Amino acid sequence: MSDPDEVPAWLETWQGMGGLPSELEAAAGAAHRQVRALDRAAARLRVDDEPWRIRRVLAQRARR
Amino acid sequence: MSDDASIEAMGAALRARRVGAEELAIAAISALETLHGQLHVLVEAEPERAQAQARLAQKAIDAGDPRPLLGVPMAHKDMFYRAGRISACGSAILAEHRPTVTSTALERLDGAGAVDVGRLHMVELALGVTGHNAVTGTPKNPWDPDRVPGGSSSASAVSVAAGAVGAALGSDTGGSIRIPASCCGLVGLKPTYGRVSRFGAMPLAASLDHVGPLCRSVRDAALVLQALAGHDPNDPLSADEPVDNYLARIEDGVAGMVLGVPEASDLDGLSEAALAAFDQAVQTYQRLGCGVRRISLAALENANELATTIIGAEGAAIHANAIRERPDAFGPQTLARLRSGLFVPATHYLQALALRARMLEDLQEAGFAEVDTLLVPALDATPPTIEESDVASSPGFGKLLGQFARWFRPFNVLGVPSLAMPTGFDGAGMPVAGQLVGHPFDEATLLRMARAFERETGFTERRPPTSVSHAP
Repeated sequence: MSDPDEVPAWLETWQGMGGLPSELEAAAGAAHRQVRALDRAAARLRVDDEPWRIRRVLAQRARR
Repeated sequence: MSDDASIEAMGAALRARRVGAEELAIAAISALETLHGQLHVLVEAEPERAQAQARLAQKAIDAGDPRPLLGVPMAHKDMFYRAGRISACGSAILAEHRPTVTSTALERLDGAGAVDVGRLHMVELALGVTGHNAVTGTPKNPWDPDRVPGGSSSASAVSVAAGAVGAALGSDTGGSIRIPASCCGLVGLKPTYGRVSRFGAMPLAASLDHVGPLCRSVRDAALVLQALAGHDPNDPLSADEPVDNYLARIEDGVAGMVLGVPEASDLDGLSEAALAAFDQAVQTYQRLGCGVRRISLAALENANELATTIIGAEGAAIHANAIRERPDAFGPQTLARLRSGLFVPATHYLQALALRARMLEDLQEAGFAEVDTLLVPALDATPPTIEESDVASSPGFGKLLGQFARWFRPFNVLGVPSLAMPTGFDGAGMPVAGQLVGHPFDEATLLRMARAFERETGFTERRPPTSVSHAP
C-alpha cells in the first residue's frame, strides 16, 4: 500500500456490492495502512489484554 | 507591578486593589477584540456575563477571600459547553449547537471565581494539529503572524501568549494543548487521563481526550489544575484518585531527582535548534543537581498509528450522520480524516485500545519506572508558515500531521501527564519547546521539575512581538 489512492484487497467485497464511492477510496486506503501498521504489535496481545485495561494500569502505577 | 498578565500577577493586583475585577474583565475583552483584528482569535465576547461574574469575584476579594483565581479573566476554546450558549466547536456542522449542560471544567473555574470573558477559535472539531481551520479561519502566531499557532487549541494559546487573558482551557486528544503551547512559548499541561473531567466538553475520541490549561507560567498551570482536578461522577472515565496540593512542593527544586532522556537515536529528525535546545535543557537539569538516565523509546514505535486509529474510529462514530448527510459542511482535511475512521475494522480498533496498557508497561520496563520524569522534545523544528503547511486533504497529508504530532500523541495513548514548556529560542526568535512526561497522577512532580527549569532559565518571561497585555 504505497499509493494513498489504492483500494485495499479487503474492500473488494464493497466493489462486488456495487462499488465504493470514489471519494471514499482514499479514506479506505488510509485506514487500511494505519491498521496494518499495528498488526505486528497486535500479535503480542494475549486473551486477557482487554481494551480498557489502561485505566487499571494507570491506577496501579499512580505515584503521589 | 510588572507588565505581566499572568494569573499570579493579576491576582496580586486585584488583592492589592490596584485594579477592580470588573475593570479587568472589560480590559480583557477589549484586548481580545484588538487581538482578534490582528491574529483572529475571538468567536464571541460575553461582556454582560463576564461583568456579572467579576462583580461577584470583587465581593469575595473585598471580603478577604484569598482564592488565587478570583477575578482573573480567562477565555476558552469554543468546545466547553455553557448551558444555553452556542458551542460551535470550530465547525459549521455545530454552528447552532446550543448545549443544555455546562462543562464541569467551566463549573469548577466558575466556582474558583475566575471570569469567563468569551469563546475562542479552534481547529474544526479539535481534529488538527497545525491550527488551520478551513471553515472558521486560522489564528496566527503572536511570535510571527506568518506562522501557525499550533492546534487544535489554537486561539487559546494565541490569546494567553499575547497577554489578553490569564489562562485558557484546551483539550488534548493528540497534542492539542501541548502543540499550540509549544508553538506560542507557553506552558501547556495535559494531565493524567481521568484527572480532569471531560463532561460537557465536546468529545473527539473519548479514549484519548484530556482537558487542561494553557498558561504563561508553571505556577499558573498549577493553580488552574488545582481548580480543575478531581473526580466527577458525570464523566464515566473520571478517575477517583486523591488530588495533591500542586503548589506545596513546587519550589523545592530537583536536586537528587532523576530525569529520563531518550537515547540519541530516538532524537533523529530534530532540527539543529531543537536538538540544541534539548541538549541545553538536559544540561540545565544536571546543573540543578538532577541525575540523568537514558531510556529507549522503542516501546512507543507504533503510538502514532495507534492514536490515529482510535481517533479516526471514535471521531467517525460521533460524526457519522453529518459525514453522510452534510459532507460539504466540513473542511476537506477534517472530512478526509473522519471518513478514514469509517473504515477502521472493529477488531483493529479494539486491539489498538488493548495495546495502550502494554505500551505503558513496556516503557516502564525500559526504565521509565526508575526516573522521576522523562524529558522529550516537542516539535521537530520551528513551527511552519501557515501557507506552507496548508496541506488540506492533499495526498500524504496524514504523514505530515503525524510528523508534527509525533512527540505528543504517545502520551495520549499512555494516559500519563505531560507538560510542554519553552526550552529556548531559535535564531529567528521563535520559541522552541520541550515536554516533561510524568507518572500517572503525579502532576505534582511534573510541575515541580518544570518550575525548577522555569526559575533557572526565565524562558516563560519572554513575550511575543504581538502583545495586547493590559496588566495593571
